[in-house]
Amino acid sequence: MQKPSPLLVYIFATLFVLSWWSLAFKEEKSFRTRIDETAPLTKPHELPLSTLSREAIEAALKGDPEMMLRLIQEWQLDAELLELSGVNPVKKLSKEQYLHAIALGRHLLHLKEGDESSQFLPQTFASASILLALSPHEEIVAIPKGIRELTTLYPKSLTDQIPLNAERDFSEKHFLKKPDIAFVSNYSHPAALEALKNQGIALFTLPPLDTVNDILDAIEQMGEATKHPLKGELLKIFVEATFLAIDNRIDIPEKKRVLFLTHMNHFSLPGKKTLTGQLLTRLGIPFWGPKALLAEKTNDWAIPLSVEQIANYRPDTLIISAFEDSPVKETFFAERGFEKLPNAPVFIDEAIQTFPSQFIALAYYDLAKAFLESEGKTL
Amino acid sequence: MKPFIFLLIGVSLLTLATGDTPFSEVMSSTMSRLFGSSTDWNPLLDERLPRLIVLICTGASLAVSGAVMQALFHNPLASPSVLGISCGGSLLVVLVFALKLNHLSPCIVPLAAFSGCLSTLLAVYALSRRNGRVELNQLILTGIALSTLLLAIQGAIMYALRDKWQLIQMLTEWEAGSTIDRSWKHVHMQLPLSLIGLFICTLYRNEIDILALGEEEAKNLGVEVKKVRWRLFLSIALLTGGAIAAVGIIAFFGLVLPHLLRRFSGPSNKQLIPLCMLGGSASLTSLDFLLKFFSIHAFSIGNISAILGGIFFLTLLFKTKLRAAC
Repeated sequence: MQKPSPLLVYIFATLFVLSWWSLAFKEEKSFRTRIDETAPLTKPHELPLSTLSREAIEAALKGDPEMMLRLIQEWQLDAELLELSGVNPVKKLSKEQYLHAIALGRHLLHLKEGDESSQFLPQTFASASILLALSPHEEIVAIPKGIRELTTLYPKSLTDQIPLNAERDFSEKHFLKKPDIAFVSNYSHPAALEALKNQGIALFTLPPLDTVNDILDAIEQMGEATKHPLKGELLKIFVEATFLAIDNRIDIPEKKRVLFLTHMNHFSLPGKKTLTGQLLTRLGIPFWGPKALLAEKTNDWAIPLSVEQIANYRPDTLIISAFEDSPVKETFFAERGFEKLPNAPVFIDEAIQTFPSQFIALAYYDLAKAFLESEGKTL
Repeated sequence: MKPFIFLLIGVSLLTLATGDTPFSEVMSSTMSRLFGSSTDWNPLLDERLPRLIVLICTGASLAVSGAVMQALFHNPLASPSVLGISCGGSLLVVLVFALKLNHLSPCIVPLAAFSGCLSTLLAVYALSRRNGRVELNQLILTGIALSTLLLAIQGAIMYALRDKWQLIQMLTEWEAGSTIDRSWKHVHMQLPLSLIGLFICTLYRNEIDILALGEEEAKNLGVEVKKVRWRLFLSIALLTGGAIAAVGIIAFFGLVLPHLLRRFSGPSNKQLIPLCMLGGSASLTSLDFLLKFFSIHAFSIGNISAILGGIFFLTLLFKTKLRAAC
């Protein structure tokens, strides 16, 4: 067989590949938005309820006692208005809880909480997040490196004031700052725990944060441990109040076919025992994907779902939880073309869904808002 | 050859026919997509077919590149990983993911994989040259040393990125060799590279046979050794790079398949190369079908292939040892 000339072979091969790729990856289509506004999703409240602002909730969860107090008061008033207008059931804080929250808030606004300043080393995301809300940054020795990247929740201006990272590469620097307590968890690296013990630092082991109640308890316990018990208690009540306020404003019809997916390289359904699974159940969605699959795999944290399964499920509402920088928003659906789906997917931030902290309240808000948004409504 | 053709056809049909959507529904939506005006997503055309093409390309690419390397280096243990080719490709792909360059265009990934494979090959080649000649033993030793270095660098990058657990999860899945959610994007990433690589190997299969006799013999028989070897190296980089870009790392496949298939074809590469294309495609597609059929989600095709390949490799060594003892 006559071999072609070398130059021709190389030019042809290069052109072949480049033209193939330029044709194949020429442009990426954007996915369509089809909003079906027929099915009502919210309770038809005609009452002028207060605005449920994400920014305000976020600010309160970051430890602003004034904002916590204001929102708790507004929501309690909303609940009473709903009751007066005959809405049933209405969820609200008990009278004792409400008055206690008011007292705590006023106390925090007018009095200084404890003069003693201690130093804390949060080794986990959850403890760092709660600590950032409870304690001034001067009391925090270091924070986990990854928390610096969640700039939407923890602004750079705040995290930059705590220059050290909590990873054990800096153990000597941690030791020099003489932290009083290191907040660790049962999954902390055994060698790290041993090193902290050897350095004479008291360890506070956070219990597993598997449920919303676990998180609420952790907030209270950390408030006690850091000598900020009033703020800890107020934050705990505020998280509870946020859940109740959202519950009063959303009602998802049972017949609604919902699909909630988490995207991390692949699509999966969060299992029943995940925090997201618990929030979805609370929201009134017992099954957020193929019923048989969720019923069968009750103990799984994540249930992988193929594109074919997603397409066949044909949900009324599709919500995808993905990290902010995930390419799925721009590329995946454009390539696959999910034309059969009645509504375009609504994307929410996985960073808020996945890390257990006081921001669980914001995770619940995002879920509720996503359901309403998929119907073209607002919370 | 025929049994492999039947096996490939059979398993391909099963791959295309098996899925969660009822077959009748798949067929009707396919018909309306092909002959009607429908543009709806279709499980056959948008999911199973691209996956099958990727599997066929990857199986053929890995088996052929292994066979060519074993012939070129007169070494039955040679495969793309021996010269560090796959390590080079893998390192550049990890860098692409770490720097998020894959968001710019999907073709960056195969480009990086191919560039990594080729540059490693060139580096190995340059480092193992002595007085204008390349000793094959020296070449292999340099390849092993370089692949160790590249793996160490990759390990260091992964360690530095350990906090970015989403990225680490993605890289771990990619390193494990996965065929889940393969789309036309992956086909486009791999197919042009595989087609050229397979074409070159098929074109030079006579020369590969002669080169297998030794460099001097090949020269005496009129083969332009340097030129042919360079082109074959290039094709190995194309085949390995394409496979790495589309499915990740599938270890041992390039080593094991040529061994098994040589039993059917004999030592001649004229038959072995086409047989590797068929056998490689059929084996990888069968393996993938079995994983899909038995709903084995815990392991990737790369994991299973590596385990089976490792067992085979040990058996091979054990048999050689026994034979030597006798």
